[in-house]
Formats: sequence, C-alpha cells, structure tokens
Amino acid sequence: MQFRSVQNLLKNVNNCAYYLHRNFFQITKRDKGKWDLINDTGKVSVERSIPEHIEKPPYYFKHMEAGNTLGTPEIKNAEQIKQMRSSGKLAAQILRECGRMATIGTTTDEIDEFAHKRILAHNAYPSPLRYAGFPKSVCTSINNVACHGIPDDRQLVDGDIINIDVTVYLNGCHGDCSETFLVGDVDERGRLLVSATRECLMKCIALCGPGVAFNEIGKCIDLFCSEHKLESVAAFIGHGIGNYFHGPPEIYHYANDVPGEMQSGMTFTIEPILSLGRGEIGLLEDGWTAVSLDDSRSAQFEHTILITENGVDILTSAD
Amino acid sequence: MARVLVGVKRVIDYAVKVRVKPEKNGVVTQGVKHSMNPFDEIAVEEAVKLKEKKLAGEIVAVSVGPTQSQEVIRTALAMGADRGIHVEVPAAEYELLQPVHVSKILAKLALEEKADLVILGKQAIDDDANQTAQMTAAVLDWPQATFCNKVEKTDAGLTIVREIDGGLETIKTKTPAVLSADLRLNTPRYATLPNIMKAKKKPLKKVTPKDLGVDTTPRIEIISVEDPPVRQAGAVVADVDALVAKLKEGGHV
Repeated sequence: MQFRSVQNLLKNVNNCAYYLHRNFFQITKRDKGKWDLINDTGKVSVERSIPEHIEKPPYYFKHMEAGNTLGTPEIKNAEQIKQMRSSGKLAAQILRECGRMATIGTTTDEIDEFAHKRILAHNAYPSPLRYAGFPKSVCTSINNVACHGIPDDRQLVDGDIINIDVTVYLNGCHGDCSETFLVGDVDERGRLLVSATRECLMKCIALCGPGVAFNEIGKCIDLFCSEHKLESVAAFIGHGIGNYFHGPPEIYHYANDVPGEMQSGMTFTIEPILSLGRGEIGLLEDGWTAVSLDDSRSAQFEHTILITENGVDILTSAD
Repeated sequence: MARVLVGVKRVIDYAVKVRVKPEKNGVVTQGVKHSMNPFDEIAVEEAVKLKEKKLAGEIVAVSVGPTQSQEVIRTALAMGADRGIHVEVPAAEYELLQPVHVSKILAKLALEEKADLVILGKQAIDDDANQTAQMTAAVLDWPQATFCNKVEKTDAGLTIVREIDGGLETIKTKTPAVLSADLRLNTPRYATLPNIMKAKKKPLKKVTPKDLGVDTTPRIEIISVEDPPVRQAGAVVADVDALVAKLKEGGHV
C-alpha cells in the first residue's frame, strides 16, 4: 500500500533532542553515502552592522513576522520590473562570488561576512538579516540541512554539499536566488542529487509563461522526482517577491490542484529542495535550521523569475 | 454552513520497523517516529476540500490520547482545519483505550460542537480495528457511510461511493452522518511552512473524557504481545508426483 504521509510538523525547542542521535527515529536509511552529518548549530557571530546610507527594509527597524503569501499576486509595471532586474542581477553576482568561497576549511561565518561586505559595497541590504528575526545575511545549508541554515563557525569539509541562499534589497526591491555547491570530493549520490536538483529547477522554469497554471510547477517536480527516485521537501514553497521578501503567489513544490495562473508582470521564485530520503524535516533549537528527519541530504536551487508577454525571464541568471 | 468534525490519531509511522518490548507487554513507542494515521490524513483532506468548495464552514480536528497527540492536531490545523480539540488520556490508560470508548467521546463532541458531519479514517494502522466510525454512528444514531471512495453533496444530503468487496457501491444519505475515509478518496496535501506557522495560532482546546461524561475504564487486559513465529523454510520438490505424495503425507489431501 502506498501512502503519502503529510510532512511531519516542524518540531521545536522541546522535541529537538530527537535530532542529536543518528537515526533515532529508526526509519530505514535511504541516503547511505559518506558525508558529515550536521547535528546542531555552532557558534553564531554577533550581528553585523549596516551603515547609515544603506536603504533598509521595514523589518530592520521593527520585528515583523514572515510575509503573507496568500492573496492576489502583484502585476509589476515597467519601472518595477527594471528595479527587479537590477536586484536579481546583483543577487546572482553575489551568489556566484560566494560560490567561489565554498572551499575546504572555510567557515560558513566567513562566507556570511564576505557576502555581507560585498552586498553593502553595492549599496544594497542583505535581505535575510533581521527578517522574522534571522540573525545573519545569507542562509548556508550543508548536507542534511534542507534550508535556512545559520552561518556559524563550522569549517567546510571534503565531501560537503552546501546551499548558499542570497537575497539582496536594492532600491526597495528584493532579488532572491540560491545554489548548491560541491566542496572538495563529493560522493556519487551527492553529485547526482545536486545536478538533478539544478536540472529540476530549469525544467520548471522552462514551462512557465503567461496563462500557465502555477500547479504545473508542482506536477513537473513530482514527475521529475519519481523519474530520478528523489523526494521533494514539500514544506517549503516558492513565493512572490518585489518590495516585499515573501508575498503571493505560493508555489508548491509537489503535485497539487491549487488554482491560479501565471500572468505577464508577475515575479516569483521557484526553489525546489530535493532529498535523497523521505523529504520530511524538523527544526533545530535555533528555530530556523531545517534538518531531514531521516539523516538524508538534500540540495536546493532557486531563481527569481519574471513572466513576460511571451514566456519567462530569469532575473537572477548568472551571466 | 456545515461544521465538520474530523478524528485524527497519532500512530507509529508506517515506515518504522515495529519492535516488541522485551517485557512482551507491548511494542516500543519511546523515541519512535509517530505520524498522523494515513487514513486520517485522507479524512482531513476531504474535510478541507469540502471547505474549499464552500460546502463546509468550519473544520474541528479531534484527537484522543496523551500529550503528544497534540502534534497530529497541529498537523491537521496546518492542512486546513480551523481549530483543534485534544481529549487528554494519560499514557497508561491510553494503552487500553478501545474504539468503544473513543466512539463515545467523538459522539459526545459531535453533539456538543453541533457537527453536521463526522469524518474519520476507516481504520488505524496500529490496531486495524475499523470500528470507531461505525460505533460512533451507532451511539449518535446517525447514518454511516464507510470506506468512502467519493463524496458528493446533493440537495437532499450526500451521494457516496463506497468500496466494498465486490466493487463499488453508491448510496445516498441525509446529514448529519458519519463517514469513514478509504484510501482512494483523495490524495492528502503536504503542510507547507506558511501553513504550519499559521497553525500555531489556531485554537487548541484541551478536555478530558471525564469532562465529556465518558467512562474510559479498560474493558480488556493485555496478556502478552509477541513477534509472529519465525517463518519455516519451505521444501522444494522435484515434480508433481512428489508434491502430491508430500501433500498426502501431511494429511492435506
């Protein structure tokens, strides 16, 4: 009998003791590769400062909850689209530079410091900082961390796969992208996972266009996953983006029948997380880091895209 | 508009290799992954679909069990239920809790909450009892539609397609009614992060069976729990004659 089990609810503070033991849940292990398991968050450095002249988003000044992703997606005008293009371009550039830093011995905190400085140098603001209380400027998610990993003092080791998620706020506009990088010599399963996830994202983007249903993306990911024997981490969604970090529409990374169609002028992200295991996650004590419950690795790739009159444009492309 | 009561049970996850405790009085549950009973996920999904079609107004998710049962209520809330009720039963008593008790609790709640529909999973994957929906309907003296494959609302009530041994059976019923969800009724949705965050704010009320006037005194005693016997190796025979001879020997023919 085949069941599709609902994503295990994010466990929090009191229950996270579960994660400190390998396969404590006694679920059959699917990811049998050789790699370093992330158990806990390391030492997180103090908050980095932002100079006066940098334009800051509203949540810098007052703690706000994560944006509401329900409702009618915004259709952007030519001026807004122009701003989105520059934010997207900058995010892509910073991400590429960060990728070069993903080497053995570098700590994720060093990557964060680098990204922070580079974003400021372009007179932009690192969107993750202070968003719903997030303490750092980028998200760094290694191996069994699905997403929202907090940069800390852990050094990258040979065989790690690391997702770096960069979002910048430039001229009042956010641009969001991420990529999973290979550190040193990664085992075969890891390399397959990363390349498959990249391919999956590109496939999803290729089908986008005006009039296309949003749920085509979820269908595409589901089909891709069954072909490649991977699972999508369903708990995390793509989202609309603009003057706000997260807004409508909600992009589900699994087959669904939620209504809604893409229209020219919409900008949103597609950010599938594909896993070698069951795709169920839980949160660590820090309230952010999402880890797999069955000690399996996952990879993620993300682009911010714009729906145009006759198709789709990747705003965060690295060219 | 209709209020729907959905029952959800916290069970050992289907993928876990269940082990018998060395004391042979139960299975190991400590530290083992638990999830919502898969048929209950289907029940919640059906309720949420009814709400999306504007055929239901409010969905109340109920779970009977120890403190950890709240986890599955939160999952139901993240899938789209509006509020939750946790009927707290201490762990020791929960071991001996049976559908006969749970059905009385659900019936009481259905009346208190003025539910128009009670939707349950057809059976739990830990006891495979397949009794709670039927008993709940009996206590309430409501019609029951079990093993639902399809549920449609009509002016008169509901038209339901059920899975039975011989195939599919279509029945019509008025509401209020009790339904039990079968595997092919729908495909449950995943709980996404924004919905999980929203679910944290949805109300979760706690009550006890005593508050509802239901007696949960155990009616059974667990004598022993054992592994199934180790499977004996079979024997390979050379040809059909040898097979017939062996069957005759064993007194099977």
